[in-house]
Amino acid sequence: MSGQINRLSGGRRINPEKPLRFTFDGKSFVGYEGDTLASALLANGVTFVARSFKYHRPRGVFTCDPHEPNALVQLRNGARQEPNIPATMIELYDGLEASSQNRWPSLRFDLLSVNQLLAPIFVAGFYYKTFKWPAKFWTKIYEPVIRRAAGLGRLSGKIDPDSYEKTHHHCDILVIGGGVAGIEAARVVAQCGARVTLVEEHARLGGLDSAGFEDSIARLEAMENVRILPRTMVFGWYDDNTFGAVEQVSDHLEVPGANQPRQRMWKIVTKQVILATGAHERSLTFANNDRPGVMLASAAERYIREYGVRPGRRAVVFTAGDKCDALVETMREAGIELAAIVDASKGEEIEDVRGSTAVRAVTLRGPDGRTRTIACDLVCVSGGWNPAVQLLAQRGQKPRWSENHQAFLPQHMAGDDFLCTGSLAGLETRADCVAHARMTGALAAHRYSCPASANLAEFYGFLEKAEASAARHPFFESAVGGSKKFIDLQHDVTRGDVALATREGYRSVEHVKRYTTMGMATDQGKNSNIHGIAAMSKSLGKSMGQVGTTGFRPPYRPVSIGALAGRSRGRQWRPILRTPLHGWVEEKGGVFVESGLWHRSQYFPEPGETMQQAIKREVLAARNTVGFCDVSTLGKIDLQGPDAAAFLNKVYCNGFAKLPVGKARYGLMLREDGIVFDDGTVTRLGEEHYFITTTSAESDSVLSHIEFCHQVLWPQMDIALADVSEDWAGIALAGPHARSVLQRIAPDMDVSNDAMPFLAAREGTILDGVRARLFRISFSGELAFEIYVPARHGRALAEALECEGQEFGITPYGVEALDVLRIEKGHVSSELNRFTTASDLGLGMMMSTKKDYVGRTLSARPGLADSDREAVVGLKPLDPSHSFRQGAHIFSKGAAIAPESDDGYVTSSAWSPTLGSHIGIALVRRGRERLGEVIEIVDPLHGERPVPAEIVSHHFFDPENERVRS
Amino acid sequence: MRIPCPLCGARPLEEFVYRGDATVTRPEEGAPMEEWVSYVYLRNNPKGAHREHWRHVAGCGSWLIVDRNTLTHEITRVAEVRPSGDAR
Amino acid sequence: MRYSISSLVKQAFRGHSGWPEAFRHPEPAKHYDVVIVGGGGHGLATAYYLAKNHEITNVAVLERGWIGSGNVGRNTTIVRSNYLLNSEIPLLEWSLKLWEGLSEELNYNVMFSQRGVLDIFHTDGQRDEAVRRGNAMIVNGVDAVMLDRKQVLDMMPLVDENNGRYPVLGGLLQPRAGNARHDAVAWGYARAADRMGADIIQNCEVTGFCRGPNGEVTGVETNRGQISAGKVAVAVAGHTSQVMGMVGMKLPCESHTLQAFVSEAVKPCVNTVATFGVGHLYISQSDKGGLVFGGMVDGYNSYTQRGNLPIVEDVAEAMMMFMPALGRVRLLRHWAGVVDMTMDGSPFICKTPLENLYLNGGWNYTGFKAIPGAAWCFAHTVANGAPHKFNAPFHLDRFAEGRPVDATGGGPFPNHH
Repeated sequence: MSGQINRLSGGRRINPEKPLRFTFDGKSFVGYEGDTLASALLANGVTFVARSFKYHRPRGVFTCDPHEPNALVQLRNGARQEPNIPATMIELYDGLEASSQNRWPSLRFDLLSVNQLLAPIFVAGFYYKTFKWPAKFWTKIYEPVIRRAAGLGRLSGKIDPDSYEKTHHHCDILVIGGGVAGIEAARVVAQCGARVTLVEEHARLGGLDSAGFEDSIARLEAMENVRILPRTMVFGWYDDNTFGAVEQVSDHLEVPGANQPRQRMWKIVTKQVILATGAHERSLTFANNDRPGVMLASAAERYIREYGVRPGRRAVVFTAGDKCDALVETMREAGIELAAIVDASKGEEIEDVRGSTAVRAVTLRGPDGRTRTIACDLVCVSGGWNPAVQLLAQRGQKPRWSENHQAFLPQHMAGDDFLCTGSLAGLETRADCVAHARMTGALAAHRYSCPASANLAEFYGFLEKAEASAARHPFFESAVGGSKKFIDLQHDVTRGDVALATREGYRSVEHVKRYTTMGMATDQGKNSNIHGIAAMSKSLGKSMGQVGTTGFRPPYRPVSIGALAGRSRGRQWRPILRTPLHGWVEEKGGVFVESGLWHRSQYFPEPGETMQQAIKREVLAARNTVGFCDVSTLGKIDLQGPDAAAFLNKVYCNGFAKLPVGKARYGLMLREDGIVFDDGTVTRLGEEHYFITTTSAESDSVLSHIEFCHQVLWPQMDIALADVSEDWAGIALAGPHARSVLQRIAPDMDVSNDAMPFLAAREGTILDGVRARLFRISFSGELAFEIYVPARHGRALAEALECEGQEFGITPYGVEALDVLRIEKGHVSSELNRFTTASDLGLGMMMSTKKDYVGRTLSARPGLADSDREAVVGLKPLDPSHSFRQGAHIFSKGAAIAPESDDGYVTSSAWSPTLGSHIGIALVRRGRERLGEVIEIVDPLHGERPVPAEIVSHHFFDPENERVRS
Repeated sequence: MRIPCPLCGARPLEEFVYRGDATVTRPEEGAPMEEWVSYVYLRNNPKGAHREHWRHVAGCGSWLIVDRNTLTHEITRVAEVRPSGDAR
Repeated sequence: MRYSISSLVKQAFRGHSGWPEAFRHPEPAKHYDVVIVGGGGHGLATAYYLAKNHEITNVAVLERGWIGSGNVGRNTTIVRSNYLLNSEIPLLEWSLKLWEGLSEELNYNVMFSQRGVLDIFHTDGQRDEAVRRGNAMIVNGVDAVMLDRKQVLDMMPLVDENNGRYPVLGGLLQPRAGNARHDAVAWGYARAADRMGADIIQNCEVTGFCRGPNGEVTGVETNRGQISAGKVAVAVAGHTSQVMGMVGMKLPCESHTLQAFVSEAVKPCVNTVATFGVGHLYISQSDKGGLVFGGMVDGYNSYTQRGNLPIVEDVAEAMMMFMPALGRVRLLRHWAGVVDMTMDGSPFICKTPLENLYLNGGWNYTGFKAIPGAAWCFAHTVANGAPHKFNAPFHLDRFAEGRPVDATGGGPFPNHH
């Protein structure tokens, strides 16, 4: 292809038979299968691809790696648009669309490149020193301008159309890194038969250079006990060898295939881990070391060798001492002219780089102080290697500075369950890496077979010998040159910024990082930290080791939120809990409401009815004829055993010793600190058999609590608890005709008032042989029964009630009507709000004085027994048509609206069709002493006028309990 | 973090709920208020070895005593509070 | 030298060579009137207010590592006073008032951005709680605005109104709330306290307390020698139990891990601080462009400053429930702080039973916003030997008295707050 002016032949990864079209900033190009976007752009002669974060300086491709700091692009369009992707990691596909980012209006003419002129002011921390006055201006003026200028790429704002998956994976040995060290370690360890998983972030194994290891890779791939996960990046090492990894399943395609996720998160649990994460080549600090055309030496070599791309025509190599033989040879073969090798260990340095959007020349300064300028379009930089210690550092390991290696190495090369090898362990030659990796593999195999006896002497000895013989030249920055020596390329942190920070007293490496923002870019310091530390070392006169590194945190490389969420998104966030009546409610046109994870029936509108009209109709049906309501969401616990009664006496504040068989009782459960925890009913089904219900909201926590009471507090008690919540469907049948309807569906049971008085409980069969439990309990305040049948019969029960109750005008009602009914009756519900005591709720008399129970002693603390506390009362507005909200506050008439006179708040409110008035329940300071007082309900949040209301008993309806006993 | 449940084997953190310090014991009936306040509220909160209560809520439901280091998260011992073998 | 645009321009011409140290690095003296243990936000601010409000300048702040290395530099920077209880609102509102003038007062831009804190609710129960809280705020003179569904969606365009799981019913907005630049708060207070005479001593770990004949505290032992003190004020957050344990005090508190998250920088897309009533998610966007978000504590005692995967997944899942447009945003970094969770979710700012020993701690995950107000009150308490009315409820005896300040109703389980 004629456009690929810098394409060479023979790139190992490139398939020149398969040209692929792509666009960058709207311009069309062609690359080949096997290219990355970066290599394809370079092949097409595009070297200026991005702008930096702060100064908007022109930038090019700097690395051949995932931690590319410069060449970040926006990939794809529409809802799949994705910002900040390193072009070096984008596998080219046909039709790829990418654009540059953080520039306006275009990459070449970027208005904010004016920031470069302001660079003398925009130094580290300049914003701490200005924009302070006047105070309001920060939020209104300064900050919006800064915010717009900052950021990198742009999100589409559209819903991510792709899907993500999660999977669990267990193995015996996890090998992280598929370079030659990882390959060899995995191959050797797998021979012992252990389940081995090898994870590699690139599409193929081999790392920097795997020539000669094709056979090894093939053998590894053929082993049945080895699983290889390419395009998978281990991002975090969590406790007990739990690893988080993300597989880029289809990022290399234009769109994921049918039923294919875009990415898959792996949660890997392993017994042992071999870390072969390799090392990252580092740059050097010199003036204008950020210009497009300045590139890591290993990257230049790999672009030529692997991708068949000529990153420049005339190169200068700047090295801290490495001979760069491989690069020199590769360039020679590729016909790239090597203008100079600048070897800092021989006293020569680059003083400056000329050119703005592309390198034009470099100025060198020799040991004699003489300078010369050399024309070139490529500067290859080789500053040494940083072992990829990030995963180890996540575990709290502080990396150790090695003077010989001139690098931070793992503090511990091995632990009980991990081994480091390859260049991560500091090894500098491929032969060393391979030899040590094989040794490591054998060691891991030995540990797998007989864990106790592994001997690490040889493992350590090898590394110590390698370190002893290493002698890297300590060189990080040119001593000469101007102010634009970049340490953090993406964030535009310069050598001068680090010096300024230390001068201003920011002396800890963490302070300098935070003050200058070095190491906080998308590469998380993989390129910059070492140079920041070197600069600090000079400024502070401390050794590299004394300065130390900042902490590395997960993820190793950025991970998409979508992958971390997997399938748990939108409606699939968590399972929806449905009662056995759900389908029936749906058919009846019932409306559902979210209640925790449950979908409960809220109300059953008839055609043309509003919610309020439906609720009113449902309430009146229960009051005047008969209604029924799904109560299957209540928690249900089966309790059995000789000590069951004694146990109930411990967990409830009221007594259960004398509850007869066949009777239900209301129970109130406290926390040990005396605050009400939950309420429900307890029914004695047999001598040693009880059935407990809890509120829907607390069903799980009550179960955990009483299991704690049993297993931990009173383990000697001989009882057994079982959660039977899902086993039973429950329906409350309420209203004057409730008994008549019940009798029809339970013809074999005597449900008369004599046989089944208030609070009686019976087991029997209904509906032609369905086992059922009937309880004569009432939340609504009506003659009522709760009917429980095995969950699978729930729907049949609802249908039978509807059918048999038809002539009585039976009406299903939802939780809204249920709430109105209980407010009218004065049953507490939302008043159990984790703030109230039994006494606050008007239930103080339930607290037994004859026994020990959870919450008894601490209930007696002065603050909980204080007569000044807020107590439950009813509220009746003087004008019955005046409504008020739950959450409105209570003030004495005429009192100032101030916290001192805040007398409480409304906990429940409703229009009562029965009473023809708005009513409410409130927690009011000294409420019980204030019956008859007219107070004001205030709701300034809604700008409402105060509603004058009388404090009344909260038992609005049938306070004598005649209905429930009828 | 993975907790080796004595009944279910090593299981991931998300299956368990945490309660807290297992070394505090509920006072006898009639014990003075200070003992109750101490039981409910005061904790050693050690940096290092910690004995604590967990429940394997998404598994067997057992309450467990777990010896775990709060600096390293290393778990050295796990036992059922009420050994299930004792249940009749 | 005062920080200003003119000094900045002047220095620009001189290559910024003239800036003095923001704070000195002195050696510890033998004696101070007040020794503050802990060089975090609260400790540094307390030194500043002791000097500014009480003319107590012979003060040392002892920091084990580097100042700001704890939770002040690890939090998600939310500043608000949208609290529920009349016992807690005045302190937090006073704090917010101090925040409003802080950059000018300290002559250090802490970038307090009043972009609002919006608590979004999804159920009737959550709305009722929001109404109760919003009214409590207004009763206490705090700004609170009830937003309907449309207003919430206008403020948070990324929220998917048809997420299919929980509806957006509305939100409670505190317009004056917002966020700030966390490190700047530590550095700004350090610089201001240093200029008024306080010694900020880094790499100085307290290893014990010196006691007088009657058991009173007379100073501290450190890895850099003994330092005597008229009064000792402890503000060490997650390590409160350890430091107070040195004098045998056992506290109603547990140390837990709280994680925080930041994404890669993207152009502005979240312009307020939003919290969600389901999924324990809160999110904002930094001036640099990173989305800053978080969720629940990991839930078990820990001093590790690192979290585990379940919370990472939880937070991501909540984001994808409500804002599925964020699926392609990438998490850049997640970390954790050690938070001192208490048995009622509220702090201690008080005299201790030991003479001359004062405590500011137990901040749960709400310490950052409280720094100015709490330190102001703490300085008052240390100087006067008695609390200010704003911090009077936050004493250690409240548990024995049965007067916890428990706004969530979580009860004596620190990880429930």
